[in-house]
Amino acid sequence: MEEDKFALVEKIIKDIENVLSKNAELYAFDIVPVDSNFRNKTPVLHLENCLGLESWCVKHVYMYCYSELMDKYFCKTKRRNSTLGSIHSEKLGRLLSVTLLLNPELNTLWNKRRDMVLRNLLEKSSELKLTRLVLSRKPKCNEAFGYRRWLLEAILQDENLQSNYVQNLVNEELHLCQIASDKSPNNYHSWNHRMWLLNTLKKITNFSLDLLYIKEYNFSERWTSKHVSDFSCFHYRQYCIKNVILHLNDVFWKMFQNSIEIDLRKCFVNVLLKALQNDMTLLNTDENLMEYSDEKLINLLLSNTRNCNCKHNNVYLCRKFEVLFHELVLNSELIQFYKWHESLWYHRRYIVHELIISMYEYFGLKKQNGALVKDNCKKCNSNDLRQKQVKIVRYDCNRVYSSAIFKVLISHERKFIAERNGDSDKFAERHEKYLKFVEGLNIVI
Amino acid sequence: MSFTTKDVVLKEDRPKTLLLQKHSDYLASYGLNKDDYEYCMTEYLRMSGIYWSLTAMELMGQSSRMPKEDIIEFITQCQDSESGGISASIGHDPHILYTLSAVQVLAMYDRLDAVDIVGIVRYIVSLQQEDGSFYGDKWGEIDTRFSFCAVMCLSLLQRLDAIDINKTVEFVLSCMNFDGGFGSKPGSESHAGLIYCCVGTLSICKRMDALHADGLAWWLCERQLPSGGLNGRPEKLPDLCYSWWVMSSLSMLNRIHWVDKKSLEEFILACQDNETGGFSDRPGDITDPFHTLFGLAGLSLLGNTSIKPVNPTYCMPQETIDRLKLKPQILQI
Repeated sequence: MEEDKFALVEKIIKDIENVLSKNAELYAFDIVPVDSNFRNKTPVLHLENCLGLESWCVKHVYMYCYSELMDKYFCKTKRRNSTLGSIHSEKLGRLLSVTLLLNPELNTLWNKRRDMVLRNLLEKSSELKLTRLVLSRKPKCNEAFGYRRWLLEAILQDENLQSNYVQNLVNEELHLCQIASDKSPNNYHSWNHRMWLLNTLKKITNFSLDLLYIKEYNFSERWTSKHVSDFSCFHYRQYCIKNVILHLNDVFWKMFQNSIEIDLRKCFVNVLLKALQNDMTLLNTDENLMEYSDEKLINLLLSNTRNCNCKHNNVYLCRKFEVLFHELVLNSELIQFYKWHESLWYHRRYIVHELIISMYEYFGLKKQNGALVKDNCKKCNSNDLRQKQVKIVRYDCNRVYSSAIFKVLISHERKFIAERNGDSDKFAERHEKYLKFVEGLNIVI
Repeated sequence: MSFTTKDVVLKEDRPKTLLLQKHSDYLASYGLNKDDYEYCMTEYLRMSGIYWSLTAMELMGQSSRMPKEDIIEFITQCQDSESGGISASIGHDPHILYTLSAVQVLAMYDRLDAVDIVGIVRYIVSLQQEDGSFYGDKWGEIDTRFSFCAVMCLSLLQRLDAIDINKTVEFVLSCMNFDGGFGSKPGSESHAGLIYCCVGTLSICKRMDALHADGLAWWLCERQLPSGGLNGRPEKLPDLCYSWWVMSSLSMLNRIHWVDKKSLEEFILACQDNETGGFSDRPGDITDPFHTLFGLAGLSLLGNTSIKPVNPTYCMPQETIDRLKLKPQILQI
C-alpha cells in the first residue's frame, strides 16, 4: 500500500516536471480544490499555459518530497561537499521545484537552488520562470522575490549585456510586480521589489533611466487613481516623484512635460490665483504669471532674499513646485471623489511636507526636534555663527511664513479642510491637527 | 455605496476574560505530532516557534511544561560549526533570524553555555556590511529586521562591542521616512513591525534621541481602529500581532498612554479561542503560538497583572533582562 502511494507520488512529480520543462510559456500555478481522486486520472492539470495540482494529493506529494529532501540531501552528516552526479542533481532539482511550488517559504531550499546555479546545474533564465509560477500563487512571497533579486544581480553583473536584453528583463520584472501588486493589495514586497529594480539599474552605467523614471511616474499616477486604499502604491508614487524631482535638468524636463497631458505651469498658476483670490496684493503684480520665467516667478513667490550669496537654482525650484502642486491638485480630486480613505490623506501629508521642507531649505532652515533651526547652506557651508542664533531663527521663520508661496499653501489647505469637514470620515479634522502639531504649523493655521 | 473603515466588529459572545489555563494547555500540546503535515510545512521556522511558545509560557509562569532538555539539545544540533550560525531546524541553513530565536531561548533558560558563543559572534560579525546594514545570511538579503536581530543577539551575549554600532545606527536611521516611521530598507514604506525593529535597535544602542518621537508616535497611534485593535499600515485590517509591535514601540517611546488601552484590551481578549486555547490574528480565526505570544505580551504591556512583566525591547520576561543586567533605553520625556 505504502509502495503504491510512493509510486503514485513519483509519477505526479514526473508529470509536474514534464509540464515545467516542456512549456516555456507557463505563467501560473495553483492548487485546484478536488476532494478525492475519484476520476482516477493524473492530478496534474495543464491548460493554456497554466499548471494546476488537485488538492487531494498535495499533502502526500509534499510530505514525500520534503522527507526525501531532508533525508537524502540536507542531512548534515551525509553528502557534505560531495559532488552531485547529474542523475542526482536532476532528481534533486525536481524535488526542489515541486516542494517550493507547494511551500515557497522554505529558504533553505531556495539556497540549494542558488548553490546549483553557481555550479551550473540550473539555468538562471529557467529559475526566473519557476519563481514567476510561485509568485502567481503567492504574490507576497518575499523568499521568491529575494531569489529573483539574487538571480538578476548575477545576470546584470555581466557588462556585455545588450541593451535590448536588459530592457526586456526590466519590462518583464515590472510586469511581474504589477501582477503581484494587483493580486494582493498593500503588497509590501512587490512594491519594494519594484524600487529595488530601479535602484539596481542606477548602478548599471550604460542604462539610461530617464525614460523609465517618466514611465513609472505616469504608471504610478494611473495606478494610484485606481487603488485609492492601497498606501503601498502611494508610497511608490512618492518614490517616483522623488526621482523626477532629482532630475530636473532641461532635457529631462522637456521630455517629462511632453509625456504628461497637463500643463504644469497652468496648474500651478491656477492654484496660486485661486488661493489668493481675496488678496491679490500678496503677489504685488497684475502681470500674467503664465509668461513669467521660472526665475522671476520664484523671486516673486519667495522674495529674493537669502542668507548666503550662493546662487540657488530657482529654475529647479520652480519646476519642483509645479510637480508638487500638481500632485496636490490630483490628491484633492481623489479625496473629493473617494471618501473614507486614509491612504489619500496620508499621501497628502507627504506632498505638504515636501513643499514646506523646500521652502525651509530655501531660507536656510531645517526642522530639528520639532523646532526650526538654521541649516548650513549646502553649497558654501556658511552658517552665520557670528550672529545670535535665536534672533536669526525668528527672523527667518517670519520670512518663510510671510512669503507668498507659503501663504498660498496654507490658505489652500485651510480651504480644503473647511470644504471636507462635512465628510463623515473625520479625516479633514485629523489633517488639520497633523499640520498643526506634527508639521508644527500651529501658529499659522 | 457605503463608506466604512476596514475593521472588524467584536461580537457580544466573545471571550472577555483571560483564559490562561487554556493557553498553557494549548502551547504544551502544540506540535506533538512530528509527522504531521502542518509540522513539516512550518519546520522552516521551528526555532522561532520554540521562542514564541517558551516566552508565552514564561510570561504565564508555566515554562516547566516545556521539554527544556530536549529544546537545549535541539538548539545545539542546529548550530552550524562552520559559520557559527543557527538554523530553524536540523538540516536547514543558518540564518540570523533563527540565531536570535535560539539565543533568546537559551537566555531565558540561562543556558547560553550550551552553544558555541564565539561562533555566534563570528557569524553575526560576518554579516555586517560596509554601510552598517546586515545580511540575513550569506546570500545577501538586507533588511532592518536583521540589524535588530544582530544587536539584540549580541547584547544578550554581552558582546555588542563586536560590531560597528555607529554604522549600525546610521543604517537604521537611513531607513527613516518623512512620517517618522521605518521600512525594511532605505526608501521602503513605513511598517509597524519594522518600526518595532528599528526603534528596538536604537533602544539597545541607546540612541533613542535620533528618533522623531512625536511624529512617529502620532503615526503609531493612528493604527488604532474603532474595534480597539491595531493595524500595521494605513487601511489594513487589525491584527493582534500589532498589539505588540505598536505598543512595544510606544512603550520605548514612553507614550503608551496615547492609545485607548481599554478597547485594545477588549480586542486582544476577543482574539482568544475559548475551545482550543491560544490567540489568533483576529476574532474567530485559527490560533497559533505566534499570535498567542503577542496577545499575552500585549496584555502584559497594558498592565495585566496575571501575566509577568514583559520587556518592550526584547519581548522577553523582564526578569530575564534584569538577570542579564541589560538596560535597553526608554525615551525620557
